[in-house]
Amino acid sequence: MNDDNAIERFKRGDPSLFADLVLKYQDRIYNLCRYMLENSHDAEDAAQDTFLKAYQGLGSYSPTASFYTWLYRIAVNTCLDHKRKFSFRSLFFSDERTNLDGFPSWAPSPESTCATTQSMHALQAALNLLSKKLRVVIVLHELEGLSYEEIAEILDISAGTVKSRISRARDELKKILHQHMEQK
Amino acid sequence: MRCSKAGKHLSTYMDGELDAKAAALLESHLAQCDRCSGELAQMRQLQGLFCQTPRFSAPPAFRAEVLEKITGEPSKGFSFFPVFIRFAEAGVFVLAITAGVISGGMLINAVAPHHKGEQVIASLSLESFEALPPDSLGLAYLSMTEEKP
Repeated sequence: MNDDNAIERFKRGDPSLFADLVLKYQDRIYNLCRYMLENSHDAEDAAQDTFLKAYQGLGSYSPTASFYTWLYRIAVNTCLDHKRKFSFRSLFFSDERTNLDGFPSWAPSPESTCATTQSMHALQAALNLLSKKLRVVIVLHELEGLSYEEIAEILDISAGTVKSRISRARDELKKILHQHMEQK
Repeated sequence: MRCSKAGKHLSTYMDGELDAKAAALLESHLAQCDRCSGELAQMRQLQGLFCQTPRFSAPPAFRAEVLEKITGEPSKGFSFFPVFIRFAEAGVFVLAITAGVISGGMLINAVAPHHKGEQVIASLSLESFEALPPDSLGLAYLSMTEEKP
């Protein structure tokens, strides 16, 4: 059953179909939140909030856009709100995110070589240093595999702006990673 | 195509989003420019890193927790309980103030039982300063704390 059919049936009084939608998209939404928010606890909170908001908003959802771009939009806004709300932490705790040498506590243990592991951690730390605007586009494009048009729809910006931000994000990441390598 | 223009197109070209004409011009430039070719290679390397990033899965109990939160939402029907609590809070506050006023009055009467209304009125006169007006808490406090001979 495709998403629009499921939503129609949900609106006609079959709330159990929402559980199917959660199952279908939970990994993608959680993955997005994880890369936007850097730790599993915050990511889980944000991902759960995303689905709660989607549930509450399904009554007024109209399929002018695909369901998953609508869901992604909720997830992105939830993550950005989450970051705004909890940014006071940085006033009291040392900002581990700026330390490319430290392994982030949330980073999984890859099964690849040591050099690749270090590159992965450096990339993840470099992502943390990007501004919110650049980070969200590069995460949606590179990690979620979304096209420029899909990202434009999610963020309600033009495709040209998406292109420009992705280009800037890549330039920034290259600079950060290059500086990190030079310091080593 | 110059390097300054080619550099702006590299990202879009790598994603296959550059229109055919611009792509052809860029490819022609890349064939002759080591610098821009090198930049494109670095960009592909960066993209390669992204391909190796781990994909996170939602925790095992995630769906159950979401559904629990949905079904555990408070009912949208009107409930008197919160209104009752608000009135109770206000009532307790008013009672506390009233008790304070009454006990303060009783304390003053107990300590200074002979106060006269005229003394109070006289103490309010603007022509004289009464440091410890009769019927004041300050006088009552001093009366309580002064050592009796």
